[in-house]
Amino acid sequence: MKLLSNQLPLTLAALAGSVTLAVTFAAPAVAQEKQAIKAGTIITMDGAPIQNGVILMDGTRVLAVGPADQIEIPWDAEVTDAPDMVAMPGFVEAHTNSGIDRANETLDVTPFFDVQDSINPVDFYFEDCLRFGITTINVQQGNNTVIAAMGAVVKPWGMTVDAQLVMPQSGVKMSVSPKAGKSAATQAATLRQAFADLRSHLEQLVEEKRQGNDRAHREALAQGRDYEGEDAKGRAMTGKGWIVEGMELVPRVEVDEKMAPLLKVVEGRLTVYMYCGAPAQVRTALDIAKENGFLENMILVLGSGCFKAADQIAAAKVPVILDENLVFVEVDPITEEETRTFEAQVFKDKGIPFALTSRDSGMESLWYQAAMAVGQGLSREDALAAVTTVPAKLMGLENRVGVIKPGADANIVLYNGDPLSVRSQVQHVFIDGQKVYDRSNDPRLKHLFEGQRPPGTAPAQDAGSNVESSDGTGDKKDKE
Amino acid sequence: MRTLLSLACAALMLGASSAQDLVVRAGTIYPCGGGDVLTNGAAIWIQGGKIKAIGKDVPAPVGTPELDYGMGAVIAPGLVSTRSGYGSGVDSARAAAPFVQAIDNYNPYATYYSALRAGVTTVFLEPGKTDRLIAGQGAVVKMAGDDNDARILTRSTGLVGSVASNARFSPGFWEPRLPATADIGLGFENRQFPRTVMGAVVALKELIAFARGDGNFADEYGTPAGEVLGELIQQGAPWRLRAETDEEVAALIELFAMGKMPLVIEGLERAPDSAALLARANYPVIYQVTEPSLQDFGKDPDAERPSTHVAANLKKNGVAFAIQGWSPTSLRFAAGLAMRGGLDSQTALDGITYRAAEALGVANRVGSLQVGRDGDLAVFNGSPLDAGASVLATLIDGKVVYDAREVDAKRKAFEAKQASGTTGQVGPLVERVPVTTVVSVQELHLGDGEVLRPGELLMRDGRIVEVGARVSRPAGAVVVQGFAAMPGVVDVLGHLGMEGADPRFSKTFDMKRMLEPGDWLDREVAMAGTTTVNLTSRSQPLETATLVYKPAGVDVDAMVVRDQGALLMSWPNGSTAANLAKLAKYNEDWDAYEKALAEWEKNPPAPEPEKTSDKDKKDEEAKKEESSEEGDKKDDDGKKKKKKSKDKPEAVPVTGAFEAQVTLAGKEDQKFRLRLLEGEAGALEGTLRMGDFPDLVLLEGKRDGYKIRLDAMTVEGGLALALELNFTDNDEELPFLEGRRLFRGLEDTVVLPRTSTEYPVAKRPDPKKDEDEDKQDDKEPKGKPKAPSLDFELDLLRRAHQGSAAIFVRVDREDHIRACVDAFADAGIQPVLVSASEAHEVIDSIAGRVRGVILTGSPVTTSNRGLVAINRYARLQSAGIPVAFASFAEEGAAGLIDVATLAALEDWSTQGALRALTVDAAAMLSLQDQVGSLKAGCGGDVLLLDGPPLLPSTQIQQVWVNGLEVQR
Repeated sequence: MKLLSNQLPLTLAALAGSVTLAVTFAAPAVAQEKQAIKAGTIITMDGAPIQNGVILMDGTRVLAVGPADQIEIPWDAEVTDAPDMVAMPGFVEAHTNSGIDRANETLDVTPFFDVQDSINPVDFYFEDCLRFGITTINVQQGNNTVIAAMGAVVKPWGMTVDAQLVMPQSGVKMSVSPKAGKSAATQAATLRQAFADLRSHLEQLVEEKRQGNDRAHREALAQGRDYEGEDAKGRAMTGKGWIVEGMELVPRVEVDEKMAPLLKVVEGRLTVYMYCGAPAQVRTALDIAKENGFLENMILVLGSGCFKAADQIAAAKVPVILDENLVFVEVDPITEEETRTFEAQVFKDKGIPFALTSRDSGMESLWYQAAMAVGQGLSREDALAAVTTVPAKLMGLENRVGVIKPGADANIVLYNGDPLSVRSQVQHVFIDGQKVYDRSNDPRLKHLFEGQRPPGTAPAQDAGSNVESSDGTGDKKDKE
Repeated sequence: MRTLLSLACAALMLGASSAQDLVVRAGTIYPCGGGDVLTNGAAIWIQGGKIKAIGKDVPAPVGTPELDYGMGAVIAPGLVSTRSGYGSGVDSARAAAPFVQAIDNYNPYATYYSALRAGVTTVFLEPGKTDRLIAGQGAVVKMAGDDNDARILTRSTGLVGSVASNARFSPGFWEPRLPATADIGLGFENRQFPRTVMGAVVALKELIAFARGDGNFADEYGTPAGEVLGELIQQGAPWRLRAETDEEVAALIELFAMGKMPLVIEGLERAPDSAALLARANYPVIYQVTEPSLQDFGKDPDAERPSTHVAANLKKNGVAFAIQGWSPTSLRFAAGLAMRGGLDSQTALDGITYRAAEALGVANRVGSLQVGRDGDLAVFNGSPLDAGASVLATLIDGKVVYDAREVDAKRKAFEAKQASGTTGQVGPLVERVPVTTVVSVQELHLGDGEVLRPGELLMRDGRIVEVGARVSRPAGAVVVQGFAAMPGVVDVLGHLGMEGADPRFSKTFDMKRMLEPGDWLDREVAMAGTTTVNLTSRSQPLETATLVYKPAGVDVDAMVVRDQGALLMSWPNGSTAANLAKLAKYNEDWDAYEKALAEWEKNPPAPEPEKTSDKDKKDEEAKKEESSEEGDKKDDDGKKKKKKSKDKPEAVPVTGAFEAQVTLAGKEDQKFRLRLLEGEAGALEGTLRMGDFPDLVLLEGKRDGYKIRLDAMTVEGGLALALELNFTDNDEELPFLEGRRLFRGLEDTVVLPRTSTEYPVAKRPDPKKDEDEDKQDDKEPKGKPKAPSLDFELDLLRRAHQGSAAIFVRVDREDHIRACVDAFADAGIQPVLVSASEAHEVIDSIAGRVRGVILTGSPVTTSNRGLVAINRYARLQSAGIPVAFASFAEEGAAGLIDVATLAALEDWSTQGALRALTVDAAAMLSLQDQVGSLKAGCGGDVLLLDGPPLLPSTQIQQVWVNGLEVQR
């Protein structure tokens, strides 16, 4: 008892310490009720840019946005005055497999996995996202798969995945392009088989139900409950999708957990991110989607050169996410002459919604891709939309991210110039109305530019002596 | 036989519009699938992608685009390959994977260039590598087409698999159980059938039972296999199974006879004895030809070696079969190999067309040329089964999808661009279509008396590459057939190109300035057989150097064979004797210089790097700037032009020839011919031939609306010549030019009607470039020996002494001939005697001491009493003295062959006259390796004849100069 009483405060203290630690990391500034940003220019992505504007936000949402003379800033709001800066909604990464420990499983079909379990909140990737103005990220598994895990939309801020989460189970990743060891045909066969398996599983459930052998029926009977009255609770097929005889009588709890996400896909309640690495596979992707009724909730994640199948894609009215290679280079087999095609323009001309994606988390991030697209001839509006509103719409978050308007998430990035200029840098990032990044306070940049070590790392030492201690002296000791 | 131009035009038109009517002509058509072979000219009319008519001629409406590949070409159906390898090399993990669909491997965005180049238009897509008992479902697609969906002939051909040795290595199948359980962990690997023939048969039986619901083999083959197989069997889908040996064939036939299911047997490499069995079973058969390889089959006498007699045995037993190679590109070669065992060529060709289509179930669409079938053709420049022959063109649905010459032209243009680093230096209007031509004739007269019967020659890049009874037919080679061919004739002394003028040139006059590439008269002469002319001026006896040139060359470079090719002298003549006397000293000086130079070059003094490099750099920079400026200008001009065209309607181009007899400087009826080519933004270039000036004048200028200003391009010393003209072009009269000529301070008025809208003049070499090169040569380093002074006459004599130039001496009387030959013999030179009417009297004293004799007038004289005809050429030739024919005329050179024909009739041989026209004439000019004979390395100057050469009735059908067909 004595022991215990001695220990308890310690434990409590440790607990309290860890909690405060987490809080200080997660939200360094004490959350203000109201925040206001006065910016020289506000690009809202919802109408024309506002000169000399004000954004008013509470703890999480944008309350108002407009010219300074039309919005009254409450007396208790904390004001960030940035007359020389440009405010923009944070960029939206439509599809990436960064931020997770490993892109793919070795198994072919794993829709029951979830990338939430794989996201590493302290990955440097998320830190870089802040530095380059990305505030919404759709994390999906890699392309080397048949049916991969369900993805998640996160923001690059928070100590836990739960804190980062914007939308769980944002879609399921699939691929029609052959994963390692498969051909396009065997890949397609595996993909089709997964849906065939789901169908036969559902048919089996229907059959069992018809014969009164299903679990829910048996349990109800055993407990003497009125089964017929409560069976309507879990309908399997509530959306569109296939019609299996008697399907509506299958309680959802009966469906195999491993198949459940595919059932949602077929019902049109879960987005499919279908990777299609070559134009030849576009047909297969569209066919499989049509056969299984998820054409309307499919987004094509395209590889290089898929603009060749743009007509098919346009006819099927499927939105696309373009890969990081903006320009497709082709060599004439006869003359060896190169033909260069700027793919985004083709999709633009065909009226297909498209999102751009980053090449890496560093310099060739979304701002760079959008700027390059403008350089290739895309209009500025289209290029900016392709990294903000279009990907937001693809995720169904068009009222929350990629835009500054009342009610939207207060994810705002302040630049010291044109966001698409190589001379501008991200100065401040607000996520959910909280300032989470300040360039003047970026420890890593300080280390890079001013030689200051980030807090918590070893004290500054001569670089030469470091090398010696790790190699030279260590070896010596071993020898001795 | 204007194949060349019409082909190019038609191909262009085709490129522009898609589903047009088209008539394709060739010498021979193999319709395949039982149709009669059409020979000696036949045609196919394709409408809307389908064959509308086929026959000797077709009732296509006038104006239908035509592609005529010539009498040497052969049309066959587009080849059908029952194997492609275009899908993927990966099989399913399952030994039986009927659910794998090859159509998912189909990539319509790839360029199947190699297949089209091999004449293959339809292929079978495998579901994988096909090393499985059931690898999946195949598909049939076309190799090109606008509509990706329309290119698919069959989405599923049924099941594809193998019971042969290739399908005996299916790996173990493992499907992890999730979640893993304590007792079996993640599960086991299932071993898969088959490892033997009987294993394969058992597995097939099990699978069929499983599919029909007669047993549950879900653990062995997986549930999906049974379901999909069941559906396919119910649909009656055929099984295409591979069986290599007699045992495998027998096992398959037995199994399927019981099951009564449709079967296609593929393989049979080592099944020579199955023919009778297959004939009874009556299943479609695909015979796989074994790829030639260096494989070891083992020393065992029973080792299974591929049999060469399979195809012949099948044919003997009445089994219809398709032939399969190891890739689409090898299809024709494979069919050739199948013929080794004694198969006839018609069956072999059917095997890669009609029978192949039948085996794939698409014979109602492709594989034979019949009315209503798809317009898929392959055009060959020889028999399709002659592996040496190549594909001229491939058509799919009536569209040209491969054209060998277009490819060649594209490639060469690209290479030229790469080499020059600019946008290619091709002449303005004359298309330098690179043509590879095979001339195949019954009599090939090589020129030196040898005749190949039959004979063929191959011309490529302007030269003769191969001569023989049979030559190769590289890709794109056009085959032209005829009765006889001979070398182009050489006019050893002529005036073609002088245009009636008799200018007395200075000794340093550059004769190349007389040349007018593309002149119609020059082409006429070439069409009459005279392809090389040794050009000299009429003015005699001034000593002049001659220019050996080809009148029908496409540009100046192609025309000039040798500048200063020969020296024309006369005897007796004081200066000739004097020159010969000086020759010894001249030779001595130059020999010494060359020796010294050679030694100096062996041990060159250290060059002074700084100066030269600096200067070079500057030059380079200057050039760069120039070029960039030019580039900018071009762009600007382009923009301006665009703007202009918006403002006012485009004026009719002024390009063409304008010709009239006008009064110049007071003299009436002077020739005045102006030829103009309008380029970008009104820039003009052209040539002018004037009666009062000997040279051809090169012009450049500018057009502003209907006003034209032209200036003479700088020639040596400059030429004060300008033209100010007005272009009139209205509907009422012929377009004409009217204006002033400003020349040497005088002003003349000219009115020039347009006589032609053609401007076939190709590029002349850029004089600026030559100047630059000369300048660089000027900088001679120190210590280099100094060259003695150059005298062009002595130099030519010296070259003649060395054997690289010719000396023509005009000499007549017997005594003069003797003296002349003696004098030249002393100088170590063998002269060509010109006009030596009495040479035949002094044969003994000149034999072996002259290079030849050229008579003026007819070589045939009569004896004093007029009774006996004496052929002087025959006599000289039989004494070993070469003779040749000279025209001493301009367009009269066209009559050389007739003159020789006439001469040959009198007491001489045709072969002798032929030699005199060709080989011997070339040898006199020391050009025996460049013109005048049909041998590898010589220029491609060939005459195609409809009869034996030098017969009065024989006509020239076609003429090539530098390998290009000459056209009027």
